Amino acid sequence: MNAAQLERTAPLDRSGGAVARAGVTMADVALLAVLVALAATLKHCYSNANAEELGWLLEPAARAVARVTGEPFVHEARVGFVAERLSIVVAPACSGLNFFVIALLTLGIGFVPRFPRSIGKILCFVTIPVFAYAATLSANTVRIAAAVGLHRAGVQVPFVSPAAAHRALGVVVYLASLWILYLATEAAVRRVTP
Amino acid sequence: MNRAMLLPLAVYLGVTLLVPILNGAATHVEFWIHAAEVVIVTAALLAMRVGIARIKRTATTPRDAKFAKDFL
Repeated sequence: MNAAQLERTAPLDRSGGAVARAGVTMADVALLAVLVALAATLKHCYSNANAEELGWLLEPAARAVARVTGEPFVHEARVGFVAERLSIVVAPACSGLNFFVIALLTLGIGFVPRFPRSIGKILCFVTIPVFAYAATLSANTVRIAAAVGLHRAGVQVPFVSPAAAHRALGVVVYLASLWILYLATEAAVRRVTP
Repeated sequence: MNRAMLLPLAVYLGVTLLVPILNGAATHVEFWIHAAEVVIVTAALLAMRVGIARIKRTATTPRDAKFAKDFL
């Protein structure tokens, strides 16, 4: 393999950082450590949070679900957002905080090391929370709207309790959303990286 | 299975199963019910994904291939 081929397969970090064989630099390790610390802090701080503390996730999701389903959601202090006609509560457990943390880590681990220059890594790092937040609101809106739709239609899965079906729906929507988010980000990153 | 599927799946399972276990949730029955649901649904999704990939690979006629490309 000549020098030009080597350059194509393992691009050098022109900002001066040494690129390891695996393609992970010290800058990557530092940024990912910050991301993991941020994720752990979020999990710790919001583990027992009420609806008001999680309002930055719950309120936009409840508004979006209300718009999509046409079902009005009313804010109830410390409880969350309630669809009174259907007896559905968008409670702190439905905030999607776990998905936000998962999206942060997935995008960080998956894409920060892809940028050869430090400036690219930092730009990627600071935009990740924005994409993760948007993805969380979208996934949560789909999940809650689907739950409202199934509740309205009176759909019942044989041999599965409504609570278990609700949780299974959450796994399907979150995992599918995570894969879509990853593939969409990969397509976008391919365009901006050499 | 490619990286685009594996990495999100690994992080998802890590945060939903491994982190609670590290925080001591393994002693609660509710956690294991939740874990079983996560594993079963994830396995079903992966089986679907693998099935779709197999259909795409085995599409032999141009018409089959076009259908697989357009709709799968």
